[in-house]
Amino acid sequence: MKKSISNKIIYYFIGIILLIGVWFLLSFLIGEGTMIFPNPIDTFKEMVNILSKKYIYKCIGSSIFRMVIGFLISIIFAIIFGLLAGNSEKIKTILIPLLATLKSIPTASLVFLFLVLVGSKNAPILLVILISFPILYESVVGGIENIDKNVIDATKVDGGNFIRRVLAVQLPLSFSYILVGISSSFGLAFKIEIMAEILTGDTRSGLGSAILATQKNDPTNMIPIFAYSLIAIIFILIISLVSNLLRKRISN
Amino acid sequence: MKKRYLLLSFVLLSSCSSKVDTSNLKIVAPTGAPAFAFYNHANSNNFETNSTPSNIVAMMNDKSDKDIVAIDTVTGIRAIQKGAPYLLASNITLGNFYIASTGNDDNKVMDEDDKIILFGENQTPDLVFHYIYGNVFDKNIEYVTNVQDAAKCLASGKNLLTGSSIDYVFVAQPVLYTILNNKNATTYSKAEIYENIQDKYKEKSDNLSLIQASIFVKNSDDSKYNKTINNFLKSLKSDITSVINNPNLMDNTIGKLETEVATSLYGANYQMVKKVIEDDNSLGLGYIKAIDNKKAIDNFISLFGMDETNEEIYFK
Repeated sequence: MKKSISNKIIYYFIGIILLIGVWFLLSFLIGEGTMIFPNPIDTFKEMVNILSKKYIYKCIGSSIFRMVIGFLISIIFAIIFGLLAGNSEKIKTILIPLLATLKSIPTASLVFLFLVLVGSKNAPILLVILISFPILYESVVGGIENIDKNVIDATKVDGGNFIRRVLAVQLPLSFSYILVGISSSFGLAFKIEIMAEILTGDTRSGLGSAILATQKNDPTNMIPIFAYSLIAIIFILIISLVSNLLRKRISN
Repeated sequence: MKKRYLLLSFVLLSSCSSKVDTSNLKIVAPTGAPAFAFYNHANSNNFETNSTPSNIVAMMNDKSDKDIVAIDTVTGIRAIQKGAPYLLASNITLGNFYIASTGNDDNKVMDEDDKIILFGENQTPDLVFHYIYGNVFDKNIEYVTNVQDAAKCLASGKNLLTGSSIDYVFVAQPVLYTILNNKNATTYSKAEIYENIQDKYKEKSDNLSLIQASIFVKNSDDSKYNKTINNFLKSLKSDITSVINNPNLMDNTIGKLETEVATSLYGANYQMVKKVIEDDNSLGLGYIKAIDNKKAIDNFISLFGMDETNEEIYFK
């Protein structure tokens, strides 16, 4: 067991080294110095410089704050609608067009609508809700549909109203499914938050706003953009790692 | 004696309350040159900027809480013509376009054989360029999407998309200043300003100025509100005039913000912008009451195939 874990870590590091190698190669092949595709060394140096300033932590905090608000609202809606749809084929069918629309609608086209409705500061929250809702909803529905039918029937025989049945039996039994949905969409929600900050053109703090500002200030220097992106990637990797560990612990 | 002080305090307080408070007005401006007109509002919660001009137009609607909107003149007028409840008050950016040479042209004169980069096909830079030069250079014009891409072409001396060598680039301040002073740029010390587009435009238009960004104010019948707007515009005019004469005034406002926060809010490093303003106000800041500048506005919007403006769209 320990050997397989250490092997996994070795392969993981080989993957990282390969990735950096490809990055070097692309930077070399594309050329043009910092203008298009800066190399990893310059990017890492800039990342260290950015991390030494207070501003980046404000940006990360601001992005996380808005993302978490949107994500929590999305979880609440997904649980409500997922429980209803998981228990009723009719409701599930009624929700199919809405879900299909949410999944396929181009994010950019919603930006203008949300800007008018809630302004550039809060528009990313709505975008996070709309993008993560279908994934979370499906994980809730999937969780309920995978509960053993006999268990459901037994709770019906035991009596108790629908709400109690849902809260005491269905929700706990489908929890691991919901957790999978949460962990797989959390990273996506963070990416959406950054993209939404760029699309809405918001200039208050946020990782997306920081990327946009560096691009506007000096368009010939892509190093800060790469460095900010690298910080976001590392952050998302940490989130994924933590959520995977949590998921494993809960399912054990 | 005590009574006198009380009376004096009462008089002072009542005179303060009759003063129109402009600090509650909500302002939105695009990042870049127009935003710097609002340098005195850097620390105000009621001032916001947006990097995407089309997002600002989306805020010009009935439900908008924005009292003051700075946006490019053509877009703002079009929004009003489509029903946006705003009025054109003043012009605050009077052109910051330049043609820069990359240093690749041997004879140093822009002619038909030279490769020229324009940004924003069928948009302001393209239309202004064709208004001034006609179609003489069309054979060798290459378009890029925005001023940032044009800046990259100037810095590298070539079109990064096609790889072709470039002789001249249509570009705007303050990014032009950044490129000309970028020691890592391939064209450093070779690239230079070739033509001031504002001057060429004036030559062509009987001395009428180029109109870029303008201030649009909420249309209201409330005389008290309009008085507040008027007071705001007066102080804005004074701010702009002052900063053109003394760009260091920004130190007391934008300079108080964290550098990165300021750069994000205004879309450019303000220390660099100070130098651009010092250089004969090449940022193009200015203040002209729109109704007094109707002829210039009409001339400018005619480039976009628009009819003369109706006086009703102006804030008087």
